[in-house]
Amino acid sequence: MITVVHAADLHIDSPLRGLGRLEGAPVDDLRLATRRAFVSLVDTCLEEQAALLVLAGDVFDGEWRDFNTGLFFVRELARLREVGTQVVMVRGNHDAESVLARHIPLPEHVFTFSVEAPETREYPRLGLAVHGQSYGARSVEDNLAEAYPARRRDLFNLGVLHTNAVASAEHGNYAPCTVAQLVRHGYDYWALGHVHRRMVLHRDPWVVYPGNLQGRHAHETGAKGCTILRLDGLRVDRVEEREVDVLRWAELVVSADAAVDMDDLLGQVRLGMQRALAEAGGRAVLARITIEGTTDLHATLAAEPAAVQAQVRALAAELGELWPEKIRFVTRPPLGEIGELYDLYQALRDELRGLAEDPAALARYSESLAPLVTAAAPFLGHRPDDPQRLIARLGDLESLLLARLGAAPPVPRASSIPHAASSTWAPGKGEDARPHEV
Amino acid sequence: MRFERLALERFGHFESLDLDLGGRAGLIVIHGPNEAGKTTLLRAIHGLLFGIDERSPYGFRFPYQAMAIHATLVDSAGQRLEVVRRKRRKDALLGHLRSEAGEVPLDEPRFGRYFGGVTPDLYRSVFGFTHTDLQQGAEVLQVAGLAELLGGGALGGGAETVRRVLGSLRDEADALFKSRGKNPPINRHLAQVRDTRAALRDATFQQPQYLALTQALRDACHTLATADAELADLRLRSARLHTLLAAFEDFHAHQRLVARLADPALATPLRPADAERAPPLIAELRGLQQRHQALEAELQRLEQRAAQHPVDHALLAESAVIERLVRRVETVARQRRELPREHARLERDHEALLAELTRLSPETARSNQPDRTATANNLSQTPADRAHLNLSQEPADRAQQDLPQEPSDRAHPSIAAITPAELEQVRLALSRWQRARQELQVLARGEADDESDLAALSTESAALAARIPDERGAALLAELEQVQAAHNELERGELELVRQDAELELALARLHPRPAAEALERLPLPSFAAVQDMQSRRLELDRERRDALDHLSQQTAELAAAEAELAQLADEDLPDPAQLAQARQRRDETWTLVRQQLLSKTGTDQRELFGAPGEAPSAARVRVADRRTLARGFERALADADLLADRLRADADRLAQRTALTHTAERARLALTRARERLAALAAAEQDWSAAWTNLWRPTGVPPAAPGPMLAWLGDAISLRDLAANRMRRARDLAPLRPLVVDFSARLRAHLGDPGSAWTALVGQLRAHERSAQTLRGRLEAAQARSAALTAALARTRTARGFLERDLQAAVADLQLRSTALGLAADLDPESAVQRLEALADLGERLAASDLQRAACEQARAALADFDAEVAALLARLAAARTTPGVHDLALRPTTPRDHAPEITTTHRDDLVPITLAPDECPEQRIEALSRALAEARAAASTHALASDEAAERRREQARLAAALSAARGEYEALLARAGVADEAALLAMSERTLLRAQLERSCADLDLRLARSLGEGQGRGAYETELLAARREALVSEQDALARAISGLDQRRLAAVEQKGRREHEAQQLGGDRAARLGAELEVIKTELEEQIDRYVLVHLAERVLDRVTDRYARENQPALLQYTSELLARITAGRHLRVVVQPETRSLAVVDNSGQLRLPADLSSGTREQLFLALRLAYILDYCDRSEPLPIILDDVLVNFDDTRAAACLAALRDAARATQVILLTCHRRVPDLALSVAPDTRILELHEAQHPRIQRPADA
Repeated sequence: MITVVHAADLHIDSPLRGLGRLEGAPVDDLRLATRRAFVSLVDTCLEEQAALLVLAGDVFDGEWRDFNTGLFFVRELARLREVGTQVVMVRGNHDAESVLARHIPLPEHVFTFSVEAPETREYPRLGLAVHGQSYGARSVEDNLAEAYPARRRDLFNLGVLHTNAVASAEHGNYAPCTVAQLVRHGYDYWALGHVHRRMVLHRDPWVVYPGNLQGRHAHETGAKGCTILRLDGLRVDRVEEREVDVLRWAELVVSADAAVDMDDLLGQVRLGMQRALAEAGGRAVLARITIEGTTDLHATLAAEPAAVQAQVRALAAELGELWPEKIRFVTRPPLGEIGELYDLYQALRDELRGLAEDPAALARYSESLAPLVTAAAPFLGHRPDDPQRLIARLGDLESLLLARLGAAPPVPRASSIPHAASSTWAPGKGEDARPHEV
Repeated sequence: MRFERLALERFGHFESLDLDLGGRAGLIVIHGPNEAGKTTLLRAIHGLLFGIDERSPYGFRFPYQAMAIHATLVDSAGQRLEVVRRKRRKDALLGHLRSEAGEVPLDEPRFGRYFGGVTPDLYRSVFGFTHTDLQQGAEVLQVAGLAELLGGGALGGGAETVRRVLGSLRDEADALFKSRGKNPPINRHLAQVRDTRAALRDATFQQPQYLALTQALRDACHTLATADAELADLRLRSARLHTLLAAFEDFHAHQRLVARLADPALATPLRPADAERAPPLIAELRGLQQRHQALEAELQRLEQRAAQHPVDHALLAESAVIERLVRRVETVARQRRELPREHARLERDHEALLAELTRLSPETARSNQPDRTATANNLSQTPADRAHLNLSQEPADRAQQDLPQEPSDRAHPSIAAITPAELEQVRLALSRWQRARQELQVLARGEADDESDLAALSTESAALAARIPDERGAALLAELEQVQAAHNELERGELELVRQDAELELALARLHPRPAAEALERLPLPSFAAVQDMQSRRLELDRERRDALDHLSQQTAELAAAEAELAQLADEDLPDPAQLAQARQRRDETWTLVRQQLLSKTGTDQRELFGAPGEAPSAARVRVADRRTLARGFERALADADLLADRLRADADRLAQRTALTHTAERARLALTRARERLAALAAAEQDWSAAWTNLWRPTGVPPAAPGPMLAWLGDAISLRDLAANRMRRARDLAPLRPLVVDFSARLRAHLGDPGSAWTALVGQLRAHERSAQTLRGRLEAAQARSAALTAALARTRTARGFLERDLQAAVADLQLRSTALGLAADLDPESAVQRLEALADLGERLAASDLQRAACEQARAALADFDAEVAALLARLAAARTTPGVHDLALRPTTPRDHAPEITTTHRDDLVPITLAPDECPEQRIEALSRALAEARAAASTHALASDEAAERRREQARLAAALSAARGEYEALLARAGVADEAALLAMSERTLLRAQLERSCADLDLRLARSLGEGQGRGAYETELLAARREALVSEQDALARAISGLDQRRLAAVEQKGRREHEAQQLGGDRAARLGAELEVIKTELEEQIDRYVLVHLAERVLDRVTDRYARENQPALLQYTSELLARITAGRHLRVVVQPETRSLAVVDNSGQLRLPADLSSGTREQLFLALRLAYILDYCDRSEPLPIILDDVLVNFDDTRAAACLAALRDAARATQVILLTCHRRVPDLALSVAPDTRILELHEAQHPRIQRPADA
């Protein structure tokens, strides 16, 4: 029985994206998550006494230039040499542009497929023939799989390819090919990389995306890891998946439709968080929490989001290993809740609707953002006053304004004056009213 | 809220000021000259409402602590507030709030509720201001923004909200980012991004650095290898030099020695060993000869000493015997003294014992007598005789004579027959007899007791049996439990029944109308639901009736109002359409004239044209006139027509109003009719209900009251019915219990024989009786059991007594048998017999002891005789020895052959001790003398032996010396022969030379060995030697120094290379670190946070701008109430000079339209008009505020300074109207103001504030 471990899209040292500072969160796990996941992968190889580790591209993140990362990679691979695990890898689109992938000397037990043409590496002792080709440039538009060598007789044929075989819109359409084509090629197992979600596209012959090793942002949710392939001679005995990630991302969408009050809503959020924690199997969880729906709580949520966010964070802290990455409110007020400023609300809505259709008017508003744009644009990679971005935010803007106006207390009425018959009374909302200057 | 009273205490220059501001609503003008304290009053009111300023300027006359402002206020709800304000940090405000509902204390927050959102500043600028404030406001008017001026009037109550939201959005945006700020989060994060980027750049380990590192590592390795090789060469040379230097001295010394050994003078025939041997051999020979001579002299001396000490060998041969005898001498002497005395004493004791025996048993004693006497005689000889006898007689005789006496127990065999076992058996028999006798006595006593007890018990049993009652009581008791329960139940039930009866009676008495108690159960009561239904129907009817009546009265009131208004309208003058027609006709005619004039170029008569109004112009009389005049006339006609048309329109309106009113009245009448119909229908329904109600209750025979009470009645009746039913059930349950209880009581009474007692007493008696009977039965049973036991015990006792008596007899017989067997009288009683027997046994023992002592005495006598015999034998042997020649000096003979023969001496000594006993001499004395002689003989023998031993030793030594001497002599001779010399001196010289040469050869060999060790062997050594022969030592040393320096330098270079290599290797090992990765992650975190904050900033900022703009536009587009108020007030104050206030969108400001229709911006207005505009705005705001909130009093301090009389009067009229909404207090120092106020508003209250020093209030006569 021979064990082959198949992993892809390591993106070592690429940071977790969209994550602010999380109080009390395990800083090392967050910052070095991809490294730790890779260490975990190597540990898995050692545990399983794997004969071969297949890395199907995107070991490094393209923009990252710190050679320490490459040397870390080499050092970890060196652990495998001691137990005789061979390593084969292809360079993916990120590796193609990575200076690390080109200039780090790899140990002799690691074989990297050529950029020029597809080639075959045979391991007669293991009964394996591995075929593959690396990316020479970031953007490879050719169908590389077509040119892959023919199947070798009397060996288990394994194809390694970094490709978008499912036409995923989330990923660049590099080395496009189809599952049918791969199946026809006659290999026993296609070890694919590039798509970050685990997918078994075909069985017998197997066409497998193992997904990336570690979720890196809120859209890479769920368990992440590698695929373990057990060969019985020239036959696949079984294919297993193994989780090696150190952190989990989860997306919680909580409907506020049925929530009668804030406690109720927070209770639902808490339930969702508990579920996410249970699914993570003891790993720390980074959760994007979205509260949506039509609710009476809309005004409170829109006007004072920070307070509710703080409450949600406190709940998470109480539960332990869960940190909300973002807490968003996509709620609407129930109809007919608009008070005496109805006309003004209408005027506001009209204005905002007009802005969405009239970039010139929007530009007039955003002129005053110039100091911020000047100061921040060089660091952001985009302009804060970009009209498209602004138009996208108009909905939030309306929510904010309506909530603030709706949630604001009315001016004091004659009826709110104290009355001798009631010896105590609660402070009215009117006490907060601003002075009205003429 | 209005002031009723305001009093200042020690505030400003006022020591005490009390103003009565109550009364009807209206303008209040407080007039006082300059410095009368008007502004002080204004500030005091501010202080009262919002607290006295921390640094109030009104403490100049009285201290702060003394300041107090009292006020009585009435709010819009009619509640009265009593307030005292002091200048304090705590509890500055005291007071209470009083209304019809009661009184509560008033504190700061509660008081503050009256002001809503009005802050002290807002109050100061809007409600209570001075002329200065007005002027400043008027100036601000020229530059202030629209929203600021209008204050959100268009937004009604929401204006504050909008303002607040705007403020909060602006604050939030400012808190997030400032274009030149450092601390706001966005600014801070931008700086952090910059810093982190820089740090990341520093931490990133890039390709060139990596290449540089690997290159440096390779270089260091190379440098190290080179240095190592070079160093090895140098070290090799250094080692060679070291060897050369070390061997240098040795090598040259070796060379010198080799040269010296070549000298022929050092050659001799002697071997080095012989040379070495020669001198010691000569010395040894001399020493041996001297020693031999000394030994000879010593031997002679020893022989002389041995001859001086002779030896007594006979005595020494008997030394063992003599010593043994000496040891016995003392014992023998003592025995010789004591033995006769002891023998006599023993004999006496024996006699006494025999006498005793005789007394006890005469026969036994007699049979022993003769033997005893003989023995006593035998013992009575003197010791001296005996000794003599013993020594002189043959031992065989002595054995015969000294035969031991017969043992004494053989002399009294009967005593010896009483063995301890027999005696023990006799004792055992005795004790058995005694025990049996005692038991017998005890048994006899016990039997007597038992018999008496048995008799007593029989008597008691009989008595008890007589006292026990029969079994009827027990049966009754068994039944009692059940009957008792029935009895209790009966009593409880009866009590309950009584209580229920009482309740029922009471409830019945309360129930009104009252049904018959008996019939209650069968009473056909209506159902609860039916009654409730009836009640709700009734309530429904009542409510409808009320509604209908309300409606009726409302409609009646409406009708009355409409009719009243109609009547009023009817009274007014309605327009006449005829007049209008006339006016139009005149206009048309004039127009015709004009046309004609214009067409015919003829004028009209001006005078006719401008005749009295209303007079129709005559076309015929129109003359040609000036066109201008004509035109004027036409215009006038036109104006008249228009005027009339206007009036007509107004009148048409009024007509329409009247028509509408008529319609209203009609509608009201119609509604009135409908309401009446509804009332009638309701009355019918009520009648129906009444009938149904009566029908409902008819079966019960109860006259029904209103549904409410009847519902309660029904509830009561139902519960009463339940109660009665319950009672009946209970009574039924109780009925069978009573006969049971009565029967049992009768039986009980009969049993107890107590007809009069109550139940409880009866039960108690029964229980007591039964208890005592139980006790008696128990006692009887116990007595019978005991009696049976006693009888059985008696029988057992009797049997035992029989046995015992038999035992006793057997014991007596046995005892007698035994004592007879022991020779005692058969008739002796057992106890005496035992005593006698014991005495006999004791005597026997004593006799045996006495015999043993006598035997010991005999043994001692035998030992004494033995001693004497031994002494005699010794003496005889000694005497024999004296007569034969001895060999005492044999040991002195020499063991080795000597020059002279050994000397054999025979001694006969006369000085020896005598060996025979003197006739009167005791053998002990002789033995002591012999012992002394023996000691002396021993000392002499030991001295002799010592000397002869030593002499022998010396002789052996002498022999050995002689052998050595001859060997040494032989060797010496041989040596001389080998050396070929004749004398000792020549031999010694030759030996010396030989030794010197041998030493030189050894040194040479040593050096050779050392050189071989340091230089090695073979070719290497050859090379070394060649170099050593050629080299100079100084040259070698200097070369070595130079080499050391070179090595040290090279070592440093190598060390540096090692360090370099280590550092690079360390760096290489450290690679793969995660600092850059961490910083990258940190940068991502900061960027994320920055983006979030920027998003928020953009959102909030845009929201603020959008809201501001939209609100502004909205305010502009929706003519606000505030503007309307302001327009009206301004038109009124300026007496129509300025008509309207409008929004000026372009400048986002206000503008005024004057009566000429011209638009004027505030800056274009005169300062007075501007003040008036500002005043109008403020009053408008106040009116608007009072529409929405609790009205607050207005205090104005001389605001009319710049107003002319007309405008001041108009303004006062406006203030008078405002005073209907809220209290208006006007402070002034101008006399004309109160006058003007009185002229426009006669109900104005004028208060005078007098001289500053002692201000007091004076009511004006007209107030």
